Parts: sequence; C-alpha cells; structure tokens
Amino acid sequence: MMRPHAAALLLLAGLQASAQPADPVLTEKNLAAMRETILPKPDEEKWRAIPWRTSYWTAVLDGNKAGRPVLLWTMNGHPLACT
Amino acid sequence: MKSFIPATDEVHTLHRNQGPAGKHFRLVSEKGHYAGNPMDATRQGIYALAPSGEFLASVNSTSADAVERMLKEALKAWEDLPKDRRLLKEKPEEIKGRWEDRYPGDGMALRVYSRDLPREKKFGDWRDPAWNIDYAWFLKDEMTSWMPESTSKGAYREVPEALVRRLVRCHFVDNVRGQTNAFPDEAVKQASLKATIESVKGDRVTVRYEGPVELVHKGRWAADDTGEKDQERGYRGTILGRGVWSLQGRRFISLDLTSTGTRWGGTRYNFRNNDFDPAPMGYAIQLAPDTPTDRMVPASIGDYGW
Repeated sequence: MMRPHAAALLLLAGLQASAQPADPVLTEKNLAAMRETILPKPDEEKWRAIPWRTSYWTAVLDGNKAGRPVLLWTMNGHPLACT
Repeated sequence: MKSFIPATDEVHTLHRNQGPAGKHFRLVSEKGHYAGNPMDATRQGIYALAPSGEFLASVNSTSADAVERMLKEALKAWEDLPKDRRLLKEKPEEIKGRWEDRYPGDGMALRVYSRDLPREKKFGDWRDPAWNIDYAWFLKDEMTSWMPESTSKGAYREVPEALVRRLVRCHFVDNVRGQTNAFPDEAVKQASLKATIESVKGDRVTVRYEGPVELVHKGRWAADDTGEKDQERGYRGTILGRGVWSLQGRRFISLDLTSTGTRWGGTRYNFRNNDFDPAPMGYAIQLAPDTPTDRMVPASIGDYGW
C-alpha cells in the first residue's frame, strides 16, 4: 500500500510538471491517502488528553468546590478549537 | 499539572466579558504578564490562579521549560496563600447565554481539520507541519437534509445550497497557521454537494458526497505588517467522501468528507506572510464525538445567521 505522504508527493510532482499550478485532484483512488495526510497524527493531539474544562468560569467553580488552583490556557480563538 | 483544575477559554471574549467571569479574569490578568497593557490588547497566555481570584503565576510561552517553571512558581504561591484567601467568599453567579448553550445535541457537530499539502517550498519551522481544527454545527433539520428522501440505492439529492455555502464560507478558510475570518457570501462562486445512496444494509445507509468549491474574496485589508492593500484570497477544490446514516437512529454514524484544492492570499492573523501564492491545501471533516472538549463553538458562529 502506498504511504499517504508518498502519494501526496507524487500528486504534487505531477502538478509541478506544468507551468501553471493546477488544483490537487481528489479522486477515489487517492482519497484515503490525502485524508490521512491532512488528519493529525496521534502525537499531534496529545494535549487533548488533558481533562480541560472548556470555560474559565466552569473551572473557577470546580476549583472552588475541590479546593484546588486553576490553570487557564487562554488564546485568541479557543485553544481546543481554532486559534 | 494534576494539582490544578485545567481550563481553556477564548481570551478576546473573556477579557471583555462584563459578567462575573470577565470581572474575575481581569483580577488575575491585570497581575499577569500583560498587566497594564491597553484594554484592547490581548491577554492571551497561561495563568494560574486561586478560585478566589488571587493571582499565582503566568507566562505566555510555547517553551515547555518556561511553562514548567511557571507551574512550580504557581504551586509555591498556592501553598503560601493563606487558606482563607484561596476560595470565593460569596456564592458564585451562574452564567447563561454563551454560544456553547446552542450546541446541536440532536443535530450534528463536525470536526474540520485543515493542513497544507506537501509542496516543494519549505520554511524549516513550525509552519511546515502546521494544522488547525474548527467545528461546524448543523441543527437537526439541517442534518436530515443531507440525506436523500428515498433511501434506495441510487437515490440522490443536492444538499441544500444554503448549508453548503455556509459550510464552505465559514470553514473552508485558510486557518492552517492561525485563525481568519469567514468568507463573505458573495465570495462563494461555486458550492454544491451531491448526495447519492451507494448501499443499504439493514439499518445502515451509505451515502457518497461529491461537489466543487470555489471561493474568491477581493477587497482591501492588511495581510501582513505593510498595511492595507488591495488583496485577494481564495480556495478552489473538490469535496469527496461518505457518510453512514442509521435509519432507526435518524442520524449519521459516520461522516468522512475530504477536500483538496488550491488556496491563495492571506489575512491579518493567518501568518501567510511571504506565502500568498497559490499552494495546495486540504480539509478533512469527521463527526465530533459528544464529549465536553468536542462541544466547541465554531469560530465563525457569528456568521451562521442563527
């Protein structure tokens, strides 16, 4: 079975043969490989294993109840979604 | 790390919130690494705090060592903090009216991953492997309209144009390196998705989806530090994939869509400086599990028209 990355590179090589960049063509044949290239690998999503509260106030209330400090990670764009 | 209650939130909204969460956060952030900055400046970063609102420590860094130092500092500050100053003194207020409350539990939530596809041009840093994730929401009736009315093999329909337009203009954006705004509706030059029933086996109906996408947005905006200029950004590609629908459950069991195409241009915060030329990019869409950390609000929910 062709590895996803190799399949994508072959596709790219085909594109570079022409002077005008062409859109990457998605077909039934390369669908699985292209999809695997795009999806994150397990080691790219390790941070999702932390039991994050998804809002600041929920964490403050949970910390208040448990008598524990709060660790907040806050970004422009929600850190668990699109930053 | 296990000593803390871990939390995430969106800083722009939190910092400007006029309710109890915003007031509480400002107690903390105004003692942190961006204390004293103008109100419209970001307060993003990592903060440790007591539930009472007492500041413990903070940092804005991607260095593991710097974050570890901050955590140790915070735990020391927590230990040193008198017990009567650790917790809220008054009964906390409830917060209502967040977008999270609109989560379509009886509809569908999708993860939308984005990533550059392999190409010759390399940067040799975080930009090469960069990827992002956003969420797309569909109400129950909207989800149902992704299915042909007849569930016999070969039956087909076009997914309602308004839904496909919303999907592509809000989610087929170039957010690989950083968030960007949705495309305006007039930027949608082509967006359709044909749903064709491939097979029916007992309760399970497999549907194939395929359609073209073309988004072209022209206007004047700043895409880097050189100020406002006439700009163009866009994405042109194809969507292909399959969903498995449960006849009894009347919902998708899986929905795996992929799009590859060409993107071009940039916006203020998506870090495409020196990389505005057409280049290959892709999206991978899948059902989001109904877990707390996957009930995330779409970045462009304000453009949904809900």
